[in-house]
Amino acid sequence: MTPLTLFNPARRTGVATALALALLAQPLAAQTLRIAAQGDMGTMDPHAQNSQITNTILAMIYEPLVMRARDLSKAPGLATAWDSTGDTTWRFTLREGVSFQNGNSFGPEDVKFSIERAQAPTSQFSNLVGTVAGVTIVDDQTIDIETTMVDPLLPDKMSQLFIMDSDWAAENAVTVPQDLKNLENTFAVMNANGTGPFTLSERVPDSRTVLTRAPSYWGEMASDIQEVVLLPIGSPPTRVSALLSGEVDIVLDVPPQDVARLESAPGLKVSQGPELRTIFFGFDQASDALKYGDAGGKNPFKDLKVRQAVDHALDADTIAKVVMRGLATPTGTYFAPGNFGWDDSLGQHSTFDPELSKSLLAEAGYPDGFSVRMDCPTDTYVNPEQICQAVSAMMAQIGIEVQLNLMPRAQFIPLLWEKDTSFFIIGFNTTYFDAMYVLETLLMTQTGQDGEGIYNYSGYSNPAFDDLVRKARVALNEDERRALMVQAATMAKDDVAYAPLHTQILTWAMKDNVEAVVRPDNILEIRWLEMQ
Amino acid sequence: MTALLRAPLVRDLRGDRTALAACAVLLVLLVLAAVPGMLAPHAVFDLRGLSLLDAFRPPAWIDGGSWKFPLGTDDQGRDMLSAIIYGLRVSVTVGLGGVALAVVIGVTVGLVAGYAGGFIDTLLMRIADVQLTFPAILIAVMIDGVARALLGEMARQQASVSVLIIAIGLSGWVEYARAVRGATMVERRRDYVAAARLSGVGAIGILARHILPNVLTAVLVIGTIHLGVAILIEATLSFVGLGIPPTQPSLGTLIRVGNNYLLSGEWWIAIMPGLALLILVLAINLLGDFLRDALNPRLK
Amino acid sequence: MIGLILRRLSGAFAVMLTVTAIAFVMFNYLGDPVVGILGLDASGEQRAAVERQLGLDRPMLVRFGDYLGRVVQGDFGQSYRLGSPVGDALVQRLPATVELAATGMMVALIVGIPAGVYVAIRRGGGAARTLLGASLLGISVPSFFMGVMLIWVFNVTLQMLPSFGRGEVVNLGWWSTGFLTKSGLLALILPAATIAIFQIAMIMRLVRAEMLEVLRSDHILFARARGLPEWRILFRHALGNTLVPVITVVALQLGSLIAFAVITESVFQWPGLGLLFLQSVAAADVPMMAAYLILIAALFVTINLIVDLLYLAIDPRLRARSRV
Repeated sequence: MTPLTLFNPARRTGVATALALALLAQPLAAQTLRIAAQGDMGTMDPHAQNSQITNTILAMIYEPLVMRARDLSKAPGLATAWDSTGDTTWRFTLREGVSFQNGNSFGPEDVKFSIERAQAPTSQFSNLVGTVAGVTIVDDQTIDIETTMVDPLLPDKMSQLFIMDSDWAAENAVTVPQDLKNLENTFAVMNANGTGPFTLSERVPDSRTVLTRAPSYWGEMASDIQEVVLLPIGSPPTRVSALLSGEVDIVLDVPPQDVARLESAPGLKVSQGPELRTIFFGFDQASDALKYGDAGGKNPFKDLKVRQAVDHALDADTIAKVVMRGLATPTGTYFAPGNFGWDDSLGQHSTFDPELSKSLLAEAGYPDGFSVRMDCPTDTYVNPEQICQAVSAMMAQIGIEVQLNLMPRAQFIPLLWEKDTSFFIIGFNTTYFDAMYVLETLLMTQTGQDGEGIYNYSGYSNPAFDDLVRKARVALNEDERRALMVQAATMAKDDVAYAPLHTQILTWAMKDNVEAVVRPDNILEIRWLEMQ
Repeated sequence: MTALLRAPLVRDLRGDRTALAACAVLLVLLVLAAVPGMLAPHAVFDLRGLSLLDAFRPPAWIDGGSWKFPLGTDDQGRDMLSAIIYGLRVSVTVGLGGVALAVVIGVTVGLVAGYAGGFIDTLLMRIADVQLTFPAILIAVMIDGVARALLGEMARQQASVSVLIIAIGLSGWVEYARAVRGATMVERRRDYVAAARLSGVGAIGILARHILPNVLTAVLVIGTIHLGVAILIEATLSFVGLGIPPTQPSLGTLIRVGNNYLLSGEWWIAIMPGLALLILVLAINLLGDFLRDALNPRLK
Repeated sequence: MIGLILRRLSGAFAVMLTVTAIAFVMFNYLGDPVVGILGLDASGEQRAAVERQLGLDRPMLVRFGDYLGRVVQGDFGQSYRLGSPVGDALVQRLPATVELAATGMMVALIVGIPAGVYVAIRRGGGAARTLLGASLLGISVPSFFMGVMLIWVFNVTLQMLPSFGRGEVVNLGWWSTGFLTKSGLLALILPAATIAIFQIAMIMRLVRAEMLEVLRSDHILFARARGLPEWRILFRHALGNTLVPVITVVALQLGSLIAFAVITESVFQWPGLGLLFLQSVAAADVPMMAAYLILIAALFVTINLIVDLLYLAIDPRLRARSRV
């Protein structure tokens, strides 16, 4: 084991690429885009970590079959066309003349390999391929994806699945995604080889990640950017300082309290847009007794009245106004308006009525309240610490004594995986703009099949709800599907499966010479970014 | 003998205006820290009394402030003045506790090493040497990390005051030990010790009744300076996130929270506790300086 | 003389051994040692192989020897948090901390020593008292607060200096330096200043205290009685004797320097060992903490050893005593 990572291939490739670029005598000065974000990528493995920033940067290196156009409708990516050729078959026509950054050409075996790789138990993208039964290679440009059930959303799901080079993966023993939960270290953690416009040239975890422009990219770029640098800066004021002093060009996680200052700073601008991320609170509804708290040996959250009490005690308007400085929209459900399956009736947060909460608690048998531990991350989502503190105070008003347990994301997420929590905050982002993602992964009973309930950390289980969702996901008629989804979502809302709070408003801040399209999924699409 | 010590000391104190001012300020701060409930205008840690709508109010003399919250409010609507007073208590408690622990350990080790000599002395001083390789704050951070690994996050947060006291105590005893050892070694050769031994007084008796009072001067001087250092160590650990959690914040924790709002214009959330910390440590250091000069026989 | 040197060396060795033992205990009993080596490659076979290798049923001394062997080769295990070897991370981050600490100390010495001398000889003067007051302030302000204030003034308000990171670095072999680029040097200013301010205050007060004592000593009085010019007294006699204990303390201060570098690195997001350490403590990343312990001990033991040897060279009294 060599202690020196200096001589790793990624660096050498980067240097070689940079030299090649220099030799190509670009007329314009080499441009670098420096991005500051709240957290760092956890890995370069495209199937091992389903996290915002990891996906954003990997999307510059790797590409999916289906991409998005500026209006967010589906557009050709590595596949030029797709069609459902049978109830459970989707045929994809692949793009010709594409190669990976190591020179290998892109072909159907790579697609098949990537889909199967994403189905591995260590993949965090198994929901995307949960309905895939098999992939058949028809010819050099065509593949067929067979699904276990009718899945009208398959192309949407394919917009999130990164395609890897099967030969490269075999050569480097990374045919299986890194086991992130168990801190496995593989070649793919620090190395990447995709079809996208950028290659990885330097990776220093928790410090910087540098991407260099790949000269042979098949697609169109709106800018001449030659280098992209990701700088994770955990501390909000430092992140803002970096932009103010010109050391970074764009900040992706702007703290709401600094928006006014950034707007008034010369040479900078702030772009906002609705985000697909919703923040809500979860409870352990499965255990018989509270794991972390004291309620006289019972689990209060199993009782609908208690959940309703929590719901009515959340003053979402004030939190949006004070903690989020207006950069949040209170909501009554667990996905954002931009998703398919939305209905305005779902956007209504329950009335703020602490007195009602107290009487509900008394009816449920807790006139003196109870105590419970709330788990809250400090470095993911916007202002989580402040939201949790405010909510603790609101819970105290109705007699629920909250012990706030703050921790970094790296400890928080595993806590959720293990369901080792009684009361927690959580933020959810729908990856393919369809509420089915939320209904399936967050709210369905966790069966372990077809990606059902893989993110259901609260143990909410309602068979009637599950039936509705199963019907909806095979409904080919859009109106029918939407109606079923709204029905299911309303059922979950009435059940207070989780206590909703608000939808975030996305804020990016950047230098005036940078034009970035604010996408509601918080993905910085480098292909659309312009930089003068 | 102590009465003799006191008289010239007090006279010196009255003559040095800066030290006198420092002493007065320190007394005020200590009283505030001792009975925060009586003097703080709000009970800041009773969550039921908080209203989010009170958040981000500036200090009373600025537009938008009110005398209900003289130094402004923080991001949760807590009154800064009350938060600072309660924070003082946590900071001072941890500081005093840590110093007390360090004194107990250090004096004991110093007395034993200085009196026993030989192998015990060498062994104890070797341990001190090992520890001296590390700066106090790193030891404190390390002990905190060990506590974190042992207790798990939740338990550690609840025991954070104790953990910090132990960390500061364990990281700071060496200087006391050395000074006391040196003084003990000098004292044990004195006639009165030989006389006491001859008359049958046991080792512990000699240590406690004869030698200890003579080494106390050194301990007092070191202790005062150490108190300032201890409070700074706690503040630093809390600022970095390893110390007292925000549910019962110390001054360092308050500064950490306020740091997020420094750039967005709500400067008082960080600066007020920062100033309080500065005044506290400055007063302690001034007093420490005074004591060191006043009690140093060689400078007379 | 040789005996003295040998004694010092053996002392240093003893310290290192003790520290490594503590690190070993942490590594094996605080965390999961198999995880620390494999990174929890959960395959039962691999775990069993490593367990056999580690010989978890073997006597502790043997296992300690094993650990020692691995550590000496630079293998500190796998970081829980990063999922990659601890040694790699340490090597990557070392240059940043060294450059920061060295710069801070240089500035502190260059400013602090003359200031301390000045304050000692011009005792009671207006400028001296102001400096002394400033020094008191310097040691009373927590360094993180100083850093925050500096950022506010020079970065946010005046927009003169960068506030985070190292700027551009140039790679010379395995070392990455920020000294060779403009942005690297600019980025160094504020963090180095944060460290230096506290050190300047300490050094100034220390030099002053030592100098005052020396100036009262007999042989200075005799030198004055002999009619030697004041400047000669100062530089040849007083300063020499002052500096000897100052060197000791400065060496010990290097310790507190590394410590404060930890805090400063956190405030400025300086990608050095200190920030790495803090992140590991926050995540209870035991292998990293253990490795840091050993590394810091090695550093300080070396420094102390060098100072001790320098002392032997400079101070004839010690040499004389050893010959007896």
